[in-house]
Amino acid sequence: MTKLEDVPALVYTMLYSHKRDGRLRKATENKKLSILFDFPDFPPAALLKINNGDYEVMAVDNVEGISADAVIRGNFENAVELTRGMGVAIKLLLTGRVKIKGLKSAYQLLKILGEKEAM
Amino acid sequence: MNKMTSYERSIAALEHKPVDRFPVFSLGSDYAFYNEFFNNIGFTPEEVKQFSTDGILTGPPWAHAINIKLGFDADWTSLAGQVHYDPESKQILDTFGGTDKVVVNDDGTPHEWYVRPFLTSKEKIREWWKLGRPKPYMDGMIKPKVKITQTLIDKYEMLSMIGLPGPWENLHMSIGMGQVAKFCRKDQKFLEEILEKNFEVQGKGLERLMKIGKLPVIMCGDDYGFNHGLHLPVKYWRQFIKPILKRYVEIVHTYDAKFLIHSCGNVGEIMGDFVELGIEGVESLQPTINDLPAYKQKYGDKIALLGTIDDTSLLVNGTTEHVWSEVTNSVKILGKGSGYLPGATNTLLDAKVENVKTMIEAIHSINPKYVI
Repeated sequence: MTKLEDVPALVYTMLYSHKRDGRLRKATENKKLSILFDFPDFPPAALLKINNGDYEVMAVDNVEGISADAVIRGNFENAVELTRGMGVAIKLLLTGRVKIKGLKSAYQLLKILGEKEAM
Repeated sequence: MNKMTSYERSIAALEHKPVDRFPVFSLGSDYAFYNEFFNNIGFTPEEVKQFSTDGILTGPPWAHAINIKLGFDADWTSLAGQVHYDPESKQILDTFGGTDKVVVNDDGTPHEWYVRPFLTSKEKIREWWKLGRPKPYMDGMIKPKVKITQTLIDKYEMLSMIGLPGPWENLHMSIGMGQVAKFCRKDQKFLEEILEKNFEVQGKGLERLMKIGKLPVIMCGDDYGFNHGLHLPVKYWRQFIKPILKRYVEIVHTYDAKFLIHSCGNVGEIMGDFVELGIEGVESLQPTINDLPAYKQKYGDKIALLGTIDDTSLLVNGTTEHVWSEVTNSVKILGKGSGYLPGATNTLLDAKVENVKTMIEAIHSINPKYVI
């Protein structure tokens, strides 16, 4: 049976090895962080909640009323361009094709993942 | 014989030279085996710190740190190309036109897999090209992989290889077997055009990889076989796929590196072609569907054999006694005259950790000096 698919599954997979090998615990001890990944062209959205070394991801069909420390929003078609590297990521942010609300919290996730892997 | 490093013994085996013991090869670990590893063995906090500092604590399917901990001598990673998204069908696509899916099962295990071809008509293929796809590998995708590979070679003294998908996988996974069959018979010019477009990206990617990485061994994955033979008639494989594969090999040889091919399935019909192309090693070689003793006898002094230990049943369902017996038997037959890097025939999926450990110990238990 499938618990998560598509964007929520991608977000879950992104942190999976960090949880299993202990890096997530070390990086987020006594910390809480929530990030909403919202790509309206590829629903559902994914709400990531990190809490003291553990994490969960929920599929969210309706993002109205959902609060999170950071929100990453845009077209998934544009967001996948992020995989091409830092230069493309900056361009996407500067042109507003992918928007990040709560940049400081989003940066925390980037730090957890390690810059290279996130890019 | 003096003790060799993992790197030295792997290279020596590929060159058919004497080895102090047979090097063990790993193609990687998928999530189920990754979980098995952490449930049964895992890393100490010191190991996590060290592997993390060295930048090699990567997740499935290229879990290099697991390979080090388990005692593998050689491993592999594949270069991922650009990714696209089709909002209309809501599918994630690789740059050649294959569809991929990511799911998480109820037990919390993720799975990422190829699903189906996306370019299901000539019109769709031409539209794809109009969008400028397939798109090239960027240096930003190549450099991090090269860095990991060089760390594994330099610091951990193991042979780590990188590769990219071969011409056949890119073709049939993007346009589908049905269209390949149709174009083979009715539109060969168009088929050649598709292959050429794909090679423009793959050839340049391979060139960049060689220039940036200065790597000693490249292994490309290109599954050619079903259990009972090739995916396509051998005459078409020779007409359409072999010439492109030859160009892959030539690029790698230009840089004085070795070229290995990974192919699942029964590859008996084209083993001689691999040798003719100057390929230094062939990997997978599932023992239940390939006549490995015959391959060894006919080609064993010309091409190295990698894999050969059944991962579909033996490492999943076998007892440790059974694994020990099968593995030592294989090594005694296939290890003659070196040119042998045994290991599981594919990415470890649901293999038992104790069976994988037993496989490695069994390989180590055989002194190559006495394999005659």
